[in-house]
Amino acid sequence: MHSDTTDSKIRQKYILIFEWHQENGRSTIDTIIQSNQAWNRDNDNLDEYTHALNMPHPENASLEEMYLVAKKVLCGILEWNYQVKVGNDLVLGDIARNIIELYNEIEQHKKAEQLSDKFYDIKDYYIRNEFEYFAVANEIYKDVLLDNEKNIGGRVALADTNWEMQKLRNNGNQLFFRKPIALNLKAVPEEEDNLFQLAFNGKISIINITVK
Amino acid sequence: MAWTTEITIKNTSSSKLRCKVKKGQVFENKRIGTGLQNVAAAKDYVFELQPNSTQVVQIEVLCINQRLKSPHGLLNVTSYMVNEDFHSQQDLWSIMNYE
Repeated sequence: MHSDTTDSKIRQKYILIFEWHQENGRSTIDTIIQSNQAWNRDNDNLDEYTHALNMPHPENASLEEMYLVAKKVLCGILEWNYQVKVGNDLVLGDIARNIIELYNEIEQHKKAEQLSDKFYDIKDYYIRNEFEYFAVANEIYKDVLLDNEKNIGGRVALADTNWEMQKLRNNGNQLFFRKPIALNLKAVPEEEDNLFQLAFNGKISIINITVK
Repeated sequence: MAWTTEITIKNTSSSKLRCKVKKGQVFENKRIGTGLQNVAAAKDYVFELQPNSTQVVQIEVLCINQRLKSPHGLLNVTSYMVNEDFHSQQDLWSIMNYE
């Protein structure tokens, strides 16, 4: 799976950062002390660096933890050693940047998966009026049941409720066509004696349904 | 405000049938974009349908589309139901408006 491979790539790169700091943390502390003395600064950055040295072990570190360490290398307290070369002629900063890129890939993949769980489609489309919306909705939701002869369906409830959500959220020129779960609906039970199932399976005929 | 849905059902089989309508069962308008609210059953119902007979059952329903007009006219029973429990009309609208 995509995220497993990426996870492993991130971990391999994180090992380089982790091991370098385990071996060279002490000398960096000396450098920071000398720098603070030379510039007459307090040692707040020393405390922060010492704390950062307690980074999670590569075997146990979560993706987010490795990402946060990489951010510190790129633009945080671990930036002290940004330009130090390790491994294949890469500097720590390049390794950190690579980790961040890979982590962002995973996050984007997750977001795309979440979107496909919730939406049939998202269209960049400026709707001038609701008639235009309903014409598009009828096409998007065309695979959802609507059988007016048998008085069974689902498509109208989805299209109408989605339109209400669309207006409520004011998504500008983007039209979101939500799946039932994103409209707070779920499938009726598959029990044989459920009204919908009885009608769908032809065990009963619904002559009509009226509301008043 | 609760509304009443009247369903005329024909049991075409020669045996008695049990028919359940779960709380939250959605009934929809017959056309997209009528501007009328779709509705959901306000509680659980169980009916006995006699063999080879037609009967009318009544179901109390609540509206699911707060910004649309009051429900009216002919409906279909849908393959969907509200995915959370609710206790009042306002409660149901809050669920349906949540994203």
